[in-house]
Amino acid sequence: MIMKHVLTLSLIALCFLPRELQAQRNNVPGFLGKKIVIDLSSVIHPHITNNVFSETGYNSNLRPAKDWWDFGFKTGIGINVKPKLMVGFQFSYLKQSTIGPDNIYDANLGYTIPIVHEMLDYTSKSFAVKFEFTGSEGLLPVGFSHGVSAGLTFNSIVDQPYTFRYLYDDELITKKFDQSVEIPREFSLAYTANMRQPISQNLAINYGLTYNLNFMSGGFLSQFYNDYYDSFLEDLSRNRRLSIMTLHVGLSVIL
Amino acid sequence: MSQKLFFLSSLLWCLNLVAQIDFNNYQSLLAKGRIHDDFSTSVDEKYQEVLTRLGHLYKTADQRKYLMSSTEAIDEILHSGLVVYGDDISTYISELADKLLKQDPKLRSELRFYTLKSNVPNALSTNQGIIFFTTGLVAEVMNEAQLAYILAHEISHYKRHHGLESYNWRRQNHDESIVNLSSFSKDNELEADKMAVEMYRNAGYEPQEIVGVFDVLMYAYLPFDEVVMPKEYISNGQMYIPEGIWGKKSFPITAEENYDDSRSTHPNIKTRKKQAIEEIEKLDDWKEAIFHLGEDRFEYVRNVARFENLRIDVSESNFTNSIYSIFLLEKEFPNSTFLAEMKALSWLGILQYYHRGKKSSFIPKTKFMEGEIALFQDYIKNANKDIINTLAIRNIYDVQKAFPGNELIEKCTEHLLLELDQLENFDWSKYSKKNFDESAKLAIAMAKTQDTVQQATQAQSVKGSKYDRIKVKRSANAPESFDSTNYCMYAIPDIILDSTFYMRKIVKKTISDSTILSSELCASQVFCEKHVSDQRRAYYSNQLEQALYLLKDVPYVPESDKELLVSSEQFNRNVLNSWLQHEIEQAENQSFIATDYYLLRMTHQGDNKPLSYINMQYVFDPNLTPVWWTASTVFALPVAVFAVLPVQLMHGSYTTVQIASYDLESCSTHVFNTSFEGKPRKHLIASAISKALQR
Repeated sequence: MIMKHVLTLSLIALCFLPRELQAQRNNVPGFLGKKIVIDLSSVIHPHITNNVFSETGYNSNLRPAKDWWDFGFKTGIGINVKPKLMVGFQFSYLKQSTIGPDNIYDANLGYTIPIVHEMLDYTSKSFAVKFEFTGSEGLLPVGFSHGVSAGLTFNSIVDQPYTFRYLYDDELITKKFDQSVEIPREFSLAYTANMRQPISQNLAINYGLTYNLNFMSGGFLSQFYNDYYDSFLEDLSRNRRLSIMTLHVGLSVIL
Repeated sequence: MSQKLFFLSSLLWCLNLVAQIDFNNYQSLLAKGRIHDDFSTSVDEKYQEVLTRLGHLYKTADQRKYLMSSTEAIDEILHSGLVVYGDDISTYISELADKLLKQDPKLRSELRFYTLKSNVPNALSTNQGIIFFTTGLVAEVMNEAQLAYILAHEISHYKRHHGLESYNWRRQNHDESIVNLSSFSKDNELEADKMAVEMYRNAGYEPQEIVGVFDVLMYAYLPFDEVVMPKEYISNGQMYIPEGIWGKKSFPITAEENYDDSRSTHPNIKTRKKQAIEEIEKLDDWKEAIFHLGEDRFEYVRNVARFENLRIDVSESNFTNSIYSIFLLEKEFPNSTFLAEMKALSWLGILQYYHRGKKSSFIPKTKFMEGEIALFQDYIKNANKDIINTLAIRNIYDVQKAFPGNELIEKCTEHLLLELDQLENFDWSKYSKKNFDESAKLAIAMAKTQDTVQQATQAQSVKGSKYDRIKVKRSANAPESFDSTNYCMYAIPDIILDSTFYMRKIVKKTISDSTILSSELCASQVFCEKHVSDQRRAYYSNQLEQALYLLKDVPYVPESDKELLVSSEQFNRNVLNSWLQHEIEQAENQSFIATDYYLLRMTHQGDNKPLSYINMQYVFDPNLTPVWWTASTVFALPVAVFAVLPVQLMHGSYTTVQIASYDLESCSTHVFNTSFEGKPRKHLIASAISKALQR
């Protein structure tokens, strides 16, 4: 499923390249004659907006806690097709947490009971086509650039036993999340302010920040009829919407 | 030719180091001897040195900050290319100081004297013990005693620490009006005048020369002499200039002793003279000496200053001033090659600047015209393009004939012909092959002939055809008509007959973008919009240099491995480079002949690469105006602050690089500009230049 999307996006990206390269041969794109850039960056996600607008979660000891920093990485390749334009493809990976479900269906009791649940870790893998451009005085692929990317994001829960507790009881129960639950894919749009500071003729330090808009497909509530998963999906969806800004820092290889 | 030039240049260089200046072959005033610590030590070291010596005066943090900033400013002047040490003028002033401070060796040991290459008549005393004398001032004084009094005045400023005192006063009275500030400054000046009288007396000089000093100061804005310049001087006696055009107006000298000095830093001349006379009367035991170091020595030093001023005038495009100075100096040095070269450069400059619409750069406004020089300035101001062209041709041609084979004058000739070639309405054939008198006589004879022809025509018209009558009329009008108002057309008959002069083929050579990488980097300067530390500025400068090495694909040798700039030869190279850079800026991408042509050829001997000067400007302007802030705070918080602010901060840096190149061979200039978004780091600079070169 994922591979299908990756291939689709790659084909879209590749469709742009030959035409652009052909058209701009007489201009002078590139950094000292080099036009291909491979980025590898670590990604930091400060959970500022999530923590402002979301409810408080619980850590593994079931004490109230908030998830402040998430980490991940991203990699991408771009080709400087015009002096002020770069086209490429990007993959990013981010591991973060969302507050756990707040109720569970107890089969013994036959009804739903409120619970205190450990925050759930999940990963987001994004595949996107990206366009980088600069103003009239930019030096693409180095220096400051604006980037716009569009793609798909696939989220999945980290497979581990999560602790939760009944409210009327001190009993701690662990539950493995059901991996078979299908998490809808997201459509992601992003704007990146990126700086590549060259440190040699082939290497640059890159850093910057990205503003994200993530739209998760709707309709999942009708799929499961299960409060535990419905609650989780609602929280996950909100968590993704509020994951507005990420920071990145890393290295760029310029070939 | 180049071997000859090398030999000549080497000879001149050696002469410059060991002997008196040969005014016939004068070259720019340069430093001599061992480089002084003021030029080879860092600002921090100089600051520490003053603190060690005068720490008791700089007690508060503010005072030390002031000392640091003044040390930085002085350091900038010392390395500006305007200052030289160990030259004939500096040495002479130092010897005068020895005489004045014979009784105070401690004070003498704290002082250093340098020449400031400037036409502004001034002397300047600093907190650090450095005293500058401009060539403009030395050129104006009449004798050694006058110079000694001015020096005593400057030494008194240092002795009383007037610079620091003035700073302390301003700190304590920052709300005071400019009139009060002026009053405080004038008190300091009068105190320095008073102290100087005693110092001057103790050195054994004649008292009345002090009063003469104030006359010098009052009229120092005029050329160093007031002599009538006849119109024949610019026409070389071969061009008729009607009486009513030259000298029709008079330009009286307007300077007054008792001017309003309420907003001046210095008291007016009347006040200063009055106080000086009172002080003179208070003291007795006056001696009668006007010269201690000898009259010949003084006149030699003053001539050095006058020749240097002439060079500065040409370099700074004050062409009418330079021609008047040449007129004055030629009386004493009639065979000077230097004066001939400067004359050719000045006339070429007048022609070039006139046609580029920059007449105002060498002619003052009418209300500022004063004295004898104003007659010439007024004539040039009202001259039309034909007169300017003709005068330039006439003078350069005559100079070339008087000094055949002179390389610089040959270059001037070539540039003159190239300039004329580019003019739309210039035509050599418009000039008469006869001079004004001959043409006038011919015209009278023609008029008589024409009467006869008309009578004949009338007789023929009765019986001839229409075509016969036309032929007869045209043959009568065929010789050139005489126009007495267009007198310049009769000014160069000898040149018109000398086809080897103006018919020569000259190929215009230019330099292009692509040559900048192969050029020789002579100097680089970094400008930052806001104050940055010396270390940061040096870092940016280093990044710029490294960028060029990167583009040339040549390994960069770090600064620490290079030879330190400790020799006078290297210092002088910087002086010459500074002047050339200044001239390139003035030329605005047009070709010009460098005033220090020979010295530049000598210092850059062997490599025929263009010389390059780089200016880099770095500005950090993230567009965070108060309006932007207000709008974002009121309407868009927190999104504006979190979303827009980081982006604005990231791309608010702009760097502009300008590389000005000059080719000594063709005398052409080329200015290359590029700018980019980002800090001045070597790879970004290299990338920007590379992109611009390939564009």
